[in-house]
This record gives sequence, structure tokens and C-alpha cells, in this order.
Amino acid sequence: VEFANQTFCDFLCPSEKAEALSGLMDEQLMKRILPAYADPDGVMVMIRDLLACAKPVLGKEIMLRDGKVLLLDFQPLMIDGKDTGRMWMHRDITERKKATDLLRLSEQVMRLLNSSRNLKTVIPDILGKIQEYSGCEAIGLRIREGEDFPYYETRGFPQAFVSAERTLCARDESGSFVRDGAWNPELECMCGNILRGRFDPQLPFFTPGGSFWTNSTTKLLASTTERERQARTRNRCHGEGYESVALVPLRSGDEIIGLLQLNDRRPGRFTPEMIRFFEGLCASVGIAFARLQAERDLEDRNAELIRFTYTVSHDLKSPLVTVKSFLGYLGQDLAKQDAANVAKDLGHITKAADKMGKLLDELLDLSRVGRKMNPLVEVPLQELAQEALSLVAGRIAESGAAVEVAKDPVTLFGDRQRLVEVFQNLVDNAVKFMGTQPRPRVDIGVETQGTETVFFVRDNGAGIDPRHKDRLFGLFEKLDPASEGTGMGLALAKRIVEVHGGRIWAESEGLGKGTTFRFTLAKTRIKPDKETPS
Amino acid sequence: MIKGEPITILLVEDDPSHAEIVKRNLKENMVANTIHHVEDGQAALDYLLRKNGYADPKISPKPELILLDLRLPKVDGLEVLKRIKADPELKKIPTVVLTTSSAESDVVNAYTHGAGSYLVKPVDFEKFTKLMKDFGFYWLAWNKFPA
Repeated sequence: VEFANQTFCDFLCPSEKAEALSGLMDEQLMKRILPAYADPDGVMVMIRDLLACAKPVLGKEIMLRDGKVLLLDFQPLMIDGKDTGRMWMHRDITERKKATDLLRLSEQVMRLLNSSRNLKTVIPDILGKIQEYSGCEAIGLRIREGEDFPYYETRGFPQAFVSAERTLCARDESGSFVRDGAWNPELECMCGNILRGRFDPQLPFFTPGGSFWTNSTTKLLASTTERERQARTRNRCHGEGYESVALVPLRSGDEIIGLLQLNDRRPGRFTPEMIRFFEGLCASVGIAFARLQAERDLEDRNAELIRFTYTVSHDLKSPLVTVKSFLGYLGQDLAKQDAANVAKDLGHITKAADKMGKLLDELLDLSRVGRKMNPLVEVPLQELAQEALSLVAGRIAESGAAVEVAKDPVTLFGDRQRLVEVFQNLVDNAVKFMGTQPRPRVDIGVETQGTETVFFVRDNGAGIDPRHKDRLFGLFEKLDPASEGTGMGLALAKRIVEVHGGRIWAESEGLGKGTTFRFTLAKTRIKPDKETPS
Repeated sequence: MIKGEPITILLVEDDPSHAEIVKRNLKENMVANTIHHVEDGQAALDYLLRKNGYADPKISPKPELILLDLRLPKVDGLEVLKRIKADPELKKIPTVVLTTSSAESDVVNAYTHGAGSYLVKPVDFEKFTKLMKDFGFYWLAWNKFPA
């Protein structure tokens, strides 16, 4: 009995000795122990109910203020039908309860991830479950979008915090992303560290799994150097009053595709076990996101494949129809010994076979874009443009066009040979469709639109009917049947630009008003011109 | 062999070899007395609307039948079809699609926009010849055109 009393005492009023409590009347005892419960009023009601019904009750869970969970067994002691007392049995099931909760949480998260519902609608539910389990006041999920890792979903963060911390990419004075040696944008702050895998597992605030966590940002900032923290930190989490902060990477294979963030103003919210658990959970969430992305890519690819199959089936079938038909006529004309028609038939057959050969060559070339990449290099715009111009020098001379390349110090990053092909096809296209322009002219240059660097090839030629703008980049699409070529040039340019993470489009004010082709590339930079006096 | 009056056909076909095959077949089967051939969608519309060099009805008489390819330069075949069917006069001219495409989307789109018939160019010579022969027989011997 003494031992049981001591345990009871340790749970509920550790400042007192068990002996001091023994013999106390119910009311006095209640006063001492009630503050230890997480919900004293509720416990009060429960005890009254238990006493009133005087029946044994087993396995009641009770939360304490310090987070412990007790399992209560209540047994009225009856001797000869007379109520002689009660036995209260308390067992500490905190660890077991935690394990059960974790199990339930991971089960719930897995079920949500595997549900047929859209990941977009599932994520808020998952974050809700994690938040509920962790008891943290704020939770957020960053997912890669383009080159940045903005918040995909947040709960509990002030709106101003989310807006201020949305982007992680460092920008220079001009608003362009600051890039590292591999042309990836610098990601700032501790989130950037976790996303880029910059961590030192020897330091206590990093885990071997690449997570960051602290139970006191105040102590962390006071006790660590910027170098230990791997990068200059913005410290907005600390500034906002968050003491407990955990950042857990979302992985898909070797790649980090995002992170889970847990913040609380109270210190001491995390344990190493919790962080390990979140790392496991985030692996599953990461895989789910990667799967979603893969599904989306697959849909795009499928749509592209359908378009491709359509085009190929039509464009390759066409010359085949010609070959077969004129072979038929050839047979007839040979039988009739109609030499003139025999020659004509052969002409049609040869032309169709040549066209097929050319189509197949170009298809092969197109299929290689993105599949076989040369090493990616930095090349100045002028170098690419000059090489492209030398490749189409013949046609430029034929058209009599004056070609001007801007002198802006811009460096493109990519597959050099392919980038040349982009300019080559755009210039080729420009000089081919000069129309009746007496002074044909082509300008190659670069400009800044918003935060984007946009390249252009502009001509003062035939222009485009705005109705046909969408068809320009289609495979084998020819707006002018009389023009040379198979209609593959612009499709190829588009494919190359897209493989480089850019977009391409055409602008024209209409027929006779010239055309400007513009494109972006994911990785370009304008080199600061040191010559320019400031 | 085929009874009925030869008709005027507008052939819209960008591939000169295919145009040649169609013309040769129609001639051999004496289906058409005049075949007017244009190579792109814009020219087809100009012809039908008597614009840009097609003003003279002697040079560009109104056809009884239009044979239309789908994948055309300048203005797409489907767009040509839409415009024909949106015109109160032109919509009366039966328009037959003749194309290499057997894609279901093309077939559905063509009928949705008022194609009278959809023919896929056979790769095989004998079949192409037979198709053109049957085509001629149907339109000349059996079909009744608006006056």
C-alpha cells in the first residue's frame, strides 16, 4: 500500500511525501492533486461519478498537465455489502500511449496518401493530423515549384510570416536569382540548408537524416556560429517568437523535393524520437508527391505522344499513298508503253520517297533532343548567334537581309549545339518569309521582361496572321505550302527551348508587319558590365 | 458506264501528287468535267467566296461538290469546313472529306462541322482506284444535287 501510495504521489503531487497525504480527507486530497491534471474540472466530475455509482471501472485514460498519460482502475472495496473504501490504481502509460498515437498517425497518413483522392485535397488533412499529434501551433509544407520551394500548405502561421517566407531563392539587386556554381539558385536560411542537404550530422541540431530541430531558437542562436548554422539565417522564425522549430526533408529517392516545418512558441516541444518519426513519415509523403509529379509528366507525355502519333501517321502515310499509287500507274503506263507518263510516275515516286526519308531523319533528330544531351556549358549570346548565322549564310545572302546581333553581355547555359539550332531555325525562318520587304532585316537580341531574360529574333518580313500563331510550332506544320522544308524547324526549336526549361512564342501584328520570335531559357544571366561607369 | 451529268468539283489538296492521283482517277472514270484544284485552305475560301483572283465565275464556277483534305496550309481543312457550313449559300454544297487521317477525333470533328462523308485515302493503289470509282458512281449515278 505504501508503494502504491508513493507512485500515486509521484504522479500527482511530486512535491509531497506519501506519508503526508495519508489520512487526508477526500476534499483536502483533491485540492492537492487536482492541479496536476490537464483538465481538473473534468477529473472532478469523473471522480464524483465514480464515487456515486460505486462500481468498478477499469482502464480510464487521464491526461496530466506535464503530458503524462495515466491509466486509472477504480475499485470500490465492499466488505459484507458495506462500502469500506476505494482502491485507485494509476499506471503510467505515457510511452505506450505515445507509441499508439504514432502508430495511429502513421496509419492515418498512409491511408490518406493511398486514398484515391487528389493529393491536393489530402495534404491539408495530413498536415492537420500531424499538427494534432505534435501539438505544434504552426505547421507548413514546402514543395518544389520550378526552382523555388514555396509553401504548398500552411496551418497556424501568421499570414505575414507565410508571405515573407514564401520564397527561399536569394535575389540580387536586379531581382534575379543568385546562383551557385552549378547554376542552381541559392536557397536561403535553414530551410535552404535542409532542402540543399547542407548539414553537419555532428552538430546536435541536425540529424543524420538531414533534419534540423531545436527546442529553443534563442539558445541556438546564442550558442552557435553562422558557420555552424551552414548559412546566414533570416531568423524570422525566432523573430516571430518560435522557440521550437523542426524542419524535416521530404525525399523521393536521392532527391529532396520539399520539407515539413513544425513551429511552436513554447520551447521544448520535440524529442529525437519525434523527429525520427517525422523523417519516416516525410519519406512517404515525398514518394507520394514524386508519384503525383510522375503521373502528371506521364499525362503530358501521353498527350504529346498522341499528337506525335497523329502527325506521324498522317505525314508519313501521305508519301506512302503517293508511292503506292504511282507504282500502280507505273505498271499500267509501262504496259501501255506510255514513256511520258512513266517518267511522270517515277518523278512522283522519287519525290515522295525523298520526302519520307527527310521526314524520318528529322523525326529522329527531334526525338534525340532531350534524350541525348551534350554537356551543358555557358556560351555568350554573340557566339551562338554568329555560329547560327554562318550555318544559314547562304539563305541570308539569297534574301539580301541585313542581320544584326545585339552586344548585350548575356550568357546562355545549355547544350551548345542545340542552342545554335534554335537561333539557326529562327533566323532561317525569318529570312525565308521576308515577303515583299524591299529592305529585309533581322535582329537578334535580348531583353528583360519582369524577372525573365527573353531572347528574340525579330524580322520585318511577311508577318503572321494571328489566327495561325498556334500552328506555327506544330510538327510538319507549314503555313506556306510553297516554302521549302518539311515544317520541322520551329517544332525543333520549341522542343529544344522546352528541354532547357524555357518557353517560346511568336509575336506579329499581322500580315506584312514582321514577326518576332521570343524565347526564355531557365538558366541565363546577364553579366555585369564592368566597363560601365556607375 | 456511269450515267448522269459530269459535275464540277473543287479539289482542296496541298499534296500535288495526291491531287494528281485524284484528278487522274476522276478523269478515267469520267466523273467530273471540270476539276478545280486549290492547294490550301485560304485559296479554297477565296475560290468559294470569289475573292483574290477568283472573282470571275467563268474561271471559278460554283462547284457541285467539294473534296476537302483536312491538314492544309494557311487555313486548316476543318476551319474551311466550318466556314463553308456557316455560309447560307455555300452550306448547300456537299463537302466530302478526303484525307490520310483515320484519327477518330478528325472523323468526329468533320461530321460535327457538317461533312457529308469522310473518306480515308487508301495506301493501296487498287483500293484507291476502287474508292474513286465507287465515289464517282455514287455521286453521279445516284446523288441528287440542289438545282
